[in-house]
Amino acid sequence: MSFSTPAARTIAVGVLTLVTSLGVTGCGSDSSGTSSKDPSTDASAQKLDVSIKGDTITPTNKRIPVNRDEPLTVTITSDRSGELHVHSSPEEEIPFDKGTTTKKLTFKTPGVIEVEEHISDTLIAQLEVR
Amino acid sequence: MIVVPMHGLGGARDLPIPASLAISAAVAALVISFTVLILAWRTPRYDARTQGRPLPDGFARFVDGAPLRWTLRVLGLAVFVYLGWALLAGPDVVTNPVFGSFYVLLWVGIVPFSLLFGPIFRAISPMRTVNLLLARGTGGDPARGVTGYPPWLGYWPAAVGLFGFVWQELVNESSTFLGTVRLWLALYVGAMLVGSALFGSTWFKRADPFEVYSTLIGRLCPIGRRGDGRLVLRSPLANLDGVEVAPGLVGVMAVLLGSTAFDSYKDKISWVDFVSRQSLPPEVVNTLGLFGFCLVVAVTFSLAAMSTGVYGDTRRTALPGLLVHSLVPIVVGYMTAHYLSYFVEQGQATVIQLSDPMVNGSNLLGTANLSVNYWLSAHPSFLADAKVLAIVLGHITGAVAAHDRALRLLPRRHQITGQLGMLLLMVLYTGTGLYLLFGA
Repeated sequence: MSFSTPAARTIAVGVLTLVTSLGVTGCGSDSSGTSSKDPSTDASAQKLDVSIKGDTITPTNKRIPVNRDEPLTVTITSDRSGELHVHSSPEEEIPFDKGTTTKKLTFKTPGVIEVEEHISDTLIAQLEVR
Repeated sequence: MIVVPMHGLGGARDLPIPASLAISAAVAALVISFTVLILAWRTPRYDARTQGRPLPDGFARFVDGAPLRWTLRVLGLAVFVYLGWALLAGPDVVTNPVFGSFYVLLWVGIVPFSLLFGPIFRAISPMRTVNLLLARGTGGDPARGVTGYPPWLGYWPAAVGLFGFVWQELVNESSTFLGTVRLWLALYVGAMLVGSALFGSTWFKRADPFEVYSTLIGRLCPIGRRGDGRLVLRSPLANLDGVEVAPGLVGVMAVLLGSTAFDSYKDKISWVDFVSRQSLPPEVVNTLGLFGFCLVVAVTFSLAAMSTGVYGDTRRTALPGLLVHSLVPIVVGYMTAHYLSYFVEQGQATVIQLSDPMVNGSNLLGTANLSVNYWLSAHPSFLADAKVLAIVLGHITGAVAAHDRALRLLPRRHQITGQLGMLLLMVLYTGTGLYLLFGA
């Protein structure tokens, strides 16, 4: 199990390279968290408007940044009843009827959360919670 | 409240890793690869047949002794029966512990448990135990079947079985309904029983997708067995040298690596958009996508392994099989990066659900009142670092394993140039893995 000099040298150089490159580019400091927070976005402005006409859903396949611990207002305008599935951990569902339904969601844990309409099997959005 | 998700198990996914982290890890992988090539040893170092520090006799007696072996077999059978009950009699809701046990504890759990304990699935495999009991009952030998296992078949049945599993997990839109899991497991049990009756227990070693997977990952456990059967402590790299080469091994590794990459890729908005715009059903498009990912890994790996001069009795076409053990650590790195938070958090949820197999509020195992700890998801920066570290460590280990094997296989004058193709390919795999985490 003893490592000979070339092996030890290789590993030492490798580890040194890794540490240096991670250090130089500032790994560990979560700089991405601040960039998504646009100062003009007021906390109350976090919203997701969904319009449903039969099997036609708008929007679909959207990526939406969301700040955690701040409420997201989901407004559903629909001509039928149905159900939105919010794939957070644990999962959440928003049943809705014909007309307008409003629900406030607050996410405590960062992650990517999919919002889907159950009956038409459509991905509405991926919420990027930071 | 019953929620039936349209997709696989699990709620929120990990955030993308920061670009700076992805780039620095890719650069590190590139530099380390060439450092390995230029500075590392020039004669092969690893030999699984002879190397390792023998473990004390008492430990070997404990590991190989009947009490432990039978405890593990009974445990495997008990879990199988318990989950069989939930599978056949439990309600068809996603909180039925069958789903978490199948997709999380079994499939993802194979990696950490095999890293810790070696080829663990072989020891608990309920189908192996059934074969053993049937053979004992009829006065036969569990190792023998009606006929010998054809050598040309190699690991191909396992490659097919593994593809069947990842298809069920990633493509089948009904993956979280009991019916499809029942069908899958019925096919698995049938194939294992018929195969072992025909070919004896060699069938499990070559055809059981879970055992083949577990035994491959178990090669990175620091405890292994020498050629003389002695249990030894040794570098995982020396242990990895002992991967049994047989036809289809490249196929097995291609399915493992390709499917993990596809799992990241299929959630990208661009792919979801692409699938929804096709006139073909999504399951067909996703099947083609999954198969395409596996095929790309198999083809690129084979080409890279063969891109060297050879001499003597080494056939060029044998090289991919002889080098593909070096993908095992890369698969472990990918799997860790991809499934770390999923395993930790969904795994806890499954342990809680296991107390209530009929989903009627019972607490059979005493775990029902625990709650899931989301510490890992709540610390995305730590999680991103851990994932990237796993990918880079897997890459280094894979590059070293390929280097050592190349020294044994390649003629002296091709030892450096003959490795270039493989190194570049590994950098490409690692770069792709990081890109997928970055674009998650």
